[in-house]
Amino acid sequence: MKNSNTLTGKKKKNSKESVLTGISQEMLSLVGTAKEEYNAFITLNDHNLEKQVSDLSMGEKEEKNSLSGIPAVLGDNLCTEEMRTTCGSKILENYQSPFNAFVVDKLKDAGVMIVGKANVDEFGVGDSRGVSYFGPSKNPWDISRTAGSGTASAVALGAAVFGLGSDARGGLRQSAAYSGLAGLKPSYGRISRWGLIDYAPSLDQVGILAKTAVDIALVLECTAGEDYRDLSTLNNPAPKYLDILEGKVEEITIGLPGGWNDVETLEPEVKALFEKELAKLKEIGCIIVEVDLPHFFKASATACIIGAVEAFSNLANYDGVRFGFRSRSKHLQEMYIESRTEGLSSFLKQFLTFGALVSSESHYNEIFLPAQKIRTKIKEELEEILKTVDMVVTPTVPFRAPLFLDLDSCYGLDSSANIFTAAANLAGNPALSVPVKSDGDLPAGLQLIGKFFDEGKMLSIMNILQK
Amino acid sequence: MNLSSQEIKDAAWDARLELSSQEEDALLQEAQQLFKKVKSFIDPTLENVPLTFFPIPSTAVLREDEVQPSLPVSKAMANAPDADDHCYHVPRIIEE
Repeated sequence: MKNSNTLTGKKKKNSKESVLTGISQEMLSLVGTAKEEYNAFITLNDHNLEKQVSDLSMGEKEEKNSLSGIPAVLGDNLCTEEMRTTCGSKILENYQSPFNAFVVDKLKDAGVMIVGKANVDEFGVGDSRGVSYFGPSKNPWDISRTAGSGTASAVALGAAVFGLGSDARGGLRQSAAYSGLAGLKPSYGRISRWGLIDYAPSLDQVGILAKTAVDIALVLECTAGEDYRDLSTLNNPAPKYLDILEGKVEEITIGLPGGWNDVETLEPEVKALFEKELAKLKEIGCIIVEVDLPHFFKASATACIIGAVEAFSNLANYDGVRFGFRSRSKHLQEMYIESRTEGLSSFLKQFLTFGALVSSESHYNEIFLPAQKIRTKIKEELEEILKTVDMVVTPTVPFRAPLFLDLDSCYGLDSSANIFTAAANLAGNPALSVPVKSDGDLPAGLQLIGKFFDEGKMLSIMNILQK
Repeated sequence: MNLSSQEIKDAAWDARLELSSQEEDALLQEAQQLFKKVKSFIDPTLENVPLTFFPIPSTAVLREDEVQPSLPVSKAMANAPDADDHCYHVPRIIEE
């Protein structure tokens, strides 16, 4: 955890061939370490990576774009033509997408060097459990603990400057907190989901993991914008986030939800780190006020109900007919059942069955519809509070990166990891996990939840905190 | 609320999945807890609250109907476990 690669740091050295060669070789070495020792990658962009490194070493992509030549990693639920897209699942182990995700094309157009596809929870459903069919994603701070995702592991190691992944109930932000990174879930509709194999379309967003606010701002500027293939992307062009980063943060008012420190699973260490960071926010001129969000802490269970129902529907097409794993069977129904039963993990099977249960006639009215009403309350309360404060602050996760041995007690269908993060997915607001580091110990995260399309203001606060 | 094992079995069938008896038991227990929790959230103030299916107002806007390049059939079918040039092959539909 000594590597400190950042996008801005690399660009300064981009003019001399020898330096570029050195950086490229160092990066290749880190990619190898991330794959072999931390299981961060499912697939490396082997052939193209060597060519891109060679081009970069020759200075061929120099100054094309701020992101040109910058190494990035993609969660393996973002479709790519040049590498398989497995979603961390046996059922898609050899799936080759016929197209690139919108964000992949955006990055390639900008000259980004995609080093590989990172380990993800199967179809993103495990949130930040960090375990897939391809094994666990180990945390660079302590390999006996989860990194939350391979993307977080790779970026924390310096094998990539930034990474893209998905965030449905908070998984991307949680992996950021576990791995000492920043993680942004943008506003719903800010980045196109075309080519993201999501499990809950009303909750999922493509998010960004990186080490600095500047890096996230540049990547957001590159990937945000309208896409006719995703109707949730709005006609709201991305601003120049780098300009916003330099804005004043004095007198920004931040609401702290009452009851944040009553969360049962809140670790004393996380509480202490969070309070220390709140003090820093006050030092830089922010005003912290307590706010009342009575439904906020109901978000995790609510998002579990809604996410499971959407996943039950959204993942129904993995049946062995058009793509993916197929079991040998005598007739069609048997083929559907055996392909899915053999191709999906035990945890995902239970989650999908739970989604089917909630969707059933006997539970739809008594469980699913009330969950959608609670979602309305969560959204309305956030909207009302954000008329009186600029943003809301909470810890990102109540605990630090769990040991692999303890994962089952931390993660179920619903997980207390989602207690602070799920509300932003239900409401669609942007949320940023800011890394909170302790001296030599595991990191934690501070979460800011902002107004729709106000990502820049949250990034400006993080930028000042990092200075 | 008491869920039954049969409900879990039926739901697994709806999802075209088979669960082991351990998986069924674990799911039954966890589903009961979650249902209980969500029910505890329900109070009279929710009665007239509208539903939120999407975080932003969503209207089905159709773009102009224009001919655009599409995926070649061969590329679209390249991932099929069993197919010929234009058809996916599946086992027989009617059970023996």
